[in-house]
Amino acid sequence: MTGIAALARGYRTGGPSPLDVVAAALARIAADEPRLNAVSTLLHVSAMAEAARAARELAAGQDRGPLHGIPVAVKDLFAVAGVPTKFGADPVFHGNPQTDSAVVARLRAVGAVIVATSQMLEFAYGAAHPSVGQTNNPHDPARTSGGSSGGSAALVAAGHVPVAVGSDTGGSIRIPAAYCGIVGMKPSFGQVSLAGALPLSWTLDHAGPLASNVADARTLLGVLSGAALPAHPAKLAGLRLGVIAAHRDDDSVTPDMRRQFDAACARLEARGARLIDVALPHVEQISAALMLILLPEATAIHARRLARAPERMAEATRLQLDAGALVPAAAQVRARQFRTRLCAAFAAIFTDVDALLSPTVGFEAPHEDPPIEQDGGSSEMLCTAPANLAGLPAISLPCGTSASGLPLGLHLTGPAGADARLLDIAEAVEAALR
Amino acid sequence: MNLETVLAMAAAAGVTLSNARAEAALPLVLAMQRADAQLRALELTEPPSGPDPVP
Repeated sequence: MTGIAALARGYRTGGPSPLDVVAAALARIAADEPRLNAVSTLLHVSAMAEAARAARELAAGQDRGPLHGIPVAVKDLFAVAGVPTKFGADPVFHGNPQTDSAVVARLRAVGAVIVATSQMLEFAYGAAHPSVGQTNNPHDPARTSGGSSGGSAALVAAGHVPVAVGSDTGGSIRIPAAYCGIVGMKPSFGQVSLAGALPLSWTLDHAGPLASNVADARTLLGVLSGAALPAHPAKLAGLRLGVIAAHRDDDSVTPDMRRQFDAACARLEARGARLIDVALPHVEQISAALMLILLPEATAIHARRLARAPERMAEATRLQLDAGALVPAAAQVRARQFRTRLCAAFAAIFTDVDALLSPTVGFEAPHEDPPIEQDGGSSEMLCTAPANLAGLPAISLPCGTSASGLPLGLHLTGPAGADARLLDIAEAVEAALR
Repeated sequence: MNLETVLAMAAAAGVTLSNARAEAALPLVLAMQRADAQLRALELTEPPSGPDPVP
């Protein structure tokens, strides 16, 4: 689908109207659903009504900004008033919200048109529920679109919506973005309100945008966070990009990913960026600390559901929730102590570099989402989890393809609170790699 | 760690687990134990923290 700016321009200059664009989006999504399994609820009636309202308002000169009349998909853990929230789970766990989540309220306030709630892994916890199934990758439907925001990623990558909203606890926006060849950003911790969203881990969860380009991700993040993020174009010349060798050289990084990563680094260097090897202390312990926080928090969040109908959960979800109850309190405290050390280490690194550069995931989209209790699950989050643990903004950009033609992702991480600056850098990197 | 240990941990945590559920959870519980051992080895002295939300 055309990007936000072109659609918005068309709306205001006699091009296709919000009604045309939203109707076409709904038709394409419905037609492609047997292939992708990306939609939880398609909102035909309300979306057309919202599109008609946007068309009327724009015709009357009542302009609510760049998302006015733009079709958006929202991961099915953000409450949409009057629409069942299914969480990728069995119907016994579905909700019927009467009020919008903060994210949805912000979208509505600027006239965005919510066309669908998007499919996700069960409770965003790493496994597809057997009654729901996984969301398939638009580049190869035999493979996963990634998780847990796979529905949002697939809808953007297939061109059905220009932008979508996801959530990210260990990489759940950026991993599907990488697998699907689009842009996905996890902002700084607390940048986007999670009110009205089903949590997975209170201290690791983030909401953010998925888009086909950085500019659209910036526009959506500005709306979600309630403050526009104006662009101040970054120059690659002199930009200091840190590379963590332990990420670049990890065994999980395939030769295809390494080749594309090295090629991206070479292009950035050719345009004047300085690539600097940096050491992140205790990088090997990051996944361990993340799991020791994630598992007990998730178990606390889902305690009533687990007590009520454990047999209605995917086996992997149930196992993780069982195990989370058995993590000793002292282990959880140690993980949070580790987080303090990690935040300090990142702060020191960002005195020497402007952003960190790595693969998003070391490999192309697998056929199925790897369970998080296996080594493959941990390696999937190797480069994304540090930003969750430290609350840093991070973004995945397309970075070429594997030999089999599947997308790969490049990951940029910035200092806490420097979301706008990270977007500036990402836009410069995106232009250099285009 | 073995099945009995997992059942004892569950009892201490006030969680009811059948033998079959405890056995199924054992690999993940062991993985968490290994994860904690990695952090213990660091002899952390820092206070536990957030992350802090963006102001």
